[in-house]
Amino acid sequence: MKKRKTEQNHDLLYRYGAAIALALFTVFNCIFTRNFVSVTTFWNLLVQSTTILMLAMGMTLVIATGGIDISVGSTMALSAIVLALCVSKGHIAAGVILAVLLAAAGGLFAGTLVARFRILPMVATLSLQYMLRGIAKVVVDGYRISCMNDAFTGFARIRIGGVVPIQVLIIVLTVAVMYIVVNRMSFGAKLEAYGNNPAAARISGINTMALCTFCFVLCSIFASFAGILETARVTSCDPATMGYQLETDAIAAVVVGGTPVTGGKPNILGTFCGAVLLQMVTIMVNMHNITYSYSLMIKTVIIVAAVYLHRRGHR
Amino acid sequence: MKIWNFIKKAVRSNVSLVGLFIMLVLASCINQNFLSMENLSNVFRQISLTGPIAVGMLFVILCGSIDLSVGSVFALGAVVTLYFSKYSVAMAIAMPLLCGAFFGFINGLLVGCMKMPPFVGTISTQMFIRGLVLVLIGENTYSVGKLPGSLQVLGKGEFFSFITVPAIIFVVLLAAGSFLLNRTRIGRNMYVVGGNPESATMMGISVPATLITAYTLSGMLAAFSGMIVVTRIGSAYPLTGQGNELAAIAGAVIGGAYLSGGVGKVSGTFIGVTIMGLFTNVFNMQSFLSSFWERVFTGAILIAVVFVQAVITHQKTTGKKKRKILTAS
Repeated sequence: MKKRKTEQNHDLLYRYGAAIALALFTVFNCIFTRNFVSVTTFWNLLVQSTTILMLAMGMTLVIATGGIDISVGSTMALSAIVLALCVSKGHIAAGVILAVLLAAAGGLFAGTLVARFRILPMVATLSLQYMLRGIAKVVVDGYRISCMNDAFTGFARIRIGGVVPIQVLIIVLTVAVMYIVVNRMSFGAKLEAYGNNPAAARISGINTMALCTFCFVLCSIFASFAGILETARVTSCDPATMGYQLETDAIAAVVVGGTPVTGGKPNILGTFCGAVLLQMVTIMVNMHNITYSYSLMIKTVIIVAAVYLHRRGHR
Repeated sequence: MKIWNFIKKAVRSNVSLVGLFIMLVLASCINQNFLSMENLSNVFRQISLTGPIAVGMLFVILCGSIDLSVGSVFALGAVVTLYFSKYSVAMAIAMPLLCGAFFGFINGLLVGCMKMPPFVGTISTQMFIRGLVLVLIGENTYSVGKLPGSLQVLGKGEFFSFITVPAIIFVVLLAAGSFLLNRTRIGRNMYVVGGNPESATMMGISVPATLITAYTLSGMLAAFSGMIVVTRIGSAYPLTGQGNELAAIAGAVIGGAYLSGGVGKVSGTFIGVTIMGLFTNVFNMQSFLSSFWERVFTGAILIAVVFVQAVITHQKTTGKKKRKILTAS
């Protein structure tokens, strides 16, 4: 049966809205920003957007359930601190495992509160954000930890074939895996069902409690990945500033990407486009010598516009 | 017996009083000086600086929403006050309130009319206003030298050396807030909108208008709080106010406001804010745990209170401890 025109438009906007916006922005920058069209800028853009992208991947799942996780920045900080401590003593593998496990524990805590005890995700993760950041500071007494371990920092500087930074490979792998999981496996279908109508999903036999908790755990694990990659790139970790206020960027990437904020089908490719778009805004602001503060305002306008347009596409 | 009945009634209407009592007992055990007039007036002075934010947050929570931008509006209020203090005292008081009301209005539009989920809408506003503050004053502390005397009275004035002007204003605000919620139509509307928006619409109450009112008041009170603090301190750091939203939510929630909306009282918020203030005070007085732990405990307290709230509400709505089917997860 042929879909009505409005539904066709909605599908188009949903699936390609972020990509269209990204294309428009790229064109705008190629024309108006000096030095934008260069290979270095291209790789820089992708490498720098790794952190936001990792956070946004996990956030996509949580927002698709209808909730939110604003503790990702603090989870990132805690994982990074633990990792930095271990790496500076020479145990890289143990550090990575511990970092991921801690983050998963935090995600499990948040997920249980939200799924089982039906506490508003907003409040649960807001408190968790405070607690985790406080714990991260307590662990190192507020000091910045530097991890000058060659094996570890060398990893972040690998370039495949001498050209492609390893972060790009990680991004591609992550997006590919998430796309397959969400769009080709039953997990994605269940998630969409739960996001659209939690009660109906529960009655249909989907284990909604496990699903919801799992999404929060995954989100925190992705946050720990982001922390690991960031620490490897920057070779040090400051508990006060690592991941600070990055949750808003992650939410922005997801919202621009087209995942409905009230819950619904997660749009992985859209999130990818959103993350790159936001990083492009930051780079654009930098290259035009505008102060960083303006980028905050620009990003806000983008978020509001994205929500408005996606919502209009719904009706 | 009569006294006992009175106490029972008071506790039942404000369960957080029990928490306050426990906190007072704990505090006086930990530190000998706690119950001294000086210390208690210190505590009251502290809570009256950021207390108004919690009252504003109560209005928004009653409507079933939340306002995460209060920290940024606080900073904006501070900056605007400093800027206009060079021109006239009247403007220095009016302009921050106007700015707070304006951004509160925007919040209300986003959440009420555009129907954005509250967390996305107010996080966006939070980011926008923080960016605005950074644009206005750069990254360094902003100060305009000595403030005019009448402004300084606002923040630093005292009577009898323990009743401060901010405290008096806070008490007046509490009374006004209580009056608004209990005796005016606008206030009663907030309870209905938070309790059951569909019923509210059917009764003829405009949900967007109520939300806009609540957010505007919240914005005004946050800016007002920023104004009071800056007249006391004299300068404004651009990243100031971060964390105020958590403290405000904690104050309202500990005081008995349900995050799902429809339940809450100004007196409860006062008790909640006092408990948080006492906690900070006790924490600062002890040297056993480092200051970084304070954030951990604040978050933990909020989770604990919300957890208890969730369990109680769940019991109230289903009558049983747990129901498997037909409850949306």
